[in-house]
Amino acid sequence: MNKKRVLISAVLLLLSLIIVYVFFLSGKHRVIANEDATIVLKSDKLYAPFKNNQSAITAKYIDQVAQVQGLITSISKNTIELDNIIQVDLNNDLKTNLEKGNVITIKGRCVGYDDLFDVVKIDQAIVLPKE
Amino acid sequence: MIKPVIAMLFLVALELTSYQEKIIARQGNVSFFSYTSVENIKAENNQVLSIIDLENSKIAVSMLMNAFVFEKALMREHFNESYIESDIYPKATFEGEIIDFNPLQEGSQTKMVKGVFTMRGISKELEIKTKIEKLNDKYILSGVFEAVVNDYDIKIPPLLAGNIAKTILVNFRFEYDPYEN
Repeated sequence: MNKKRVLISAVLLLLSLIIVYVFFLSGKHRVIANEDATIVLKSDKLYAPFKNNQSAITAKYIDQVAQVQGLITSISKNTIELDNIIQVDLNNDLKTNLEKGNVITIKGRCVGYDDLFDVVKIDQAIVLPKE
Repeated sequence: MIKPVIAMLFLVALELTSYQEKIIARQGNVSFFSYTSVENIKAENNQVLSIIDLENSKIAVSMLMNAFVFEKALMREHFNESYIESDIYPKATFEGEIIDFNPLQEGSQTKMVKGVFTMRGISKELEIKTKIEKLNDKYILSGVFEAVVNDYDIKIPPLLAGNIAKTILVNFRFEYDPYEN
């Protein structure tokens, strides 16, 4: 009888530890590429509220999945700049043949605005295929 | 008549050269480590921006706190929401000067970088030993420094005090290219 009780409490303890681990400690990372975009904008429309310090709007953009269209103004490694105002860090190195002057649409996480280079940053991004 | 033209040409030339004397890094790497007996926490930011003016050795660094990547999603959440409060203080910046920097010296040189580091609206004077490598028109700056958690008024709940080191080790590495625009 006593043994049974010990066994049951041991199992309960183990179960609660697993529950604690699963819900509180293991916390899965988001996979931005698999999420649907919650903001769909042209580059200048995304940039303007950050530039003009409209924090009520920008607070809603940060950490959201943004789908942005723009003209490539620079490319280096896996970083693309759109219209000189959005800096996009791609998930992987570029595989497609993108060039300066191409108009593309990307999807990624809106990180925020950096006034040093005067850009809105998007990371974990993918280039969406042309419609 | 000629004199103002020459003066203007001179000014334009000056403008042009000073323009080319800037180098920038768009994918600078800053990582930090917290070692305690309870757990080790590591986070990395690969999107740090920096610019150096080779003419006066001034350096500026700017990083978005939201771009730090952690091993566990929950660590990131605590970092942004509780400790750094990145919605209120989205950026950390450094502005300073590389002391006795010789931008023309090829190869490697070690210099002190002196400046002000600002995080959570609190500014601290820092002096960081930095290795500078130059290969043609590319420069790499790298180094390590320590940041004291208490200095930046970061509140850690007593329950988690044992999980986070009092002094955080910060590593950085920036690769600069000539600024062209």
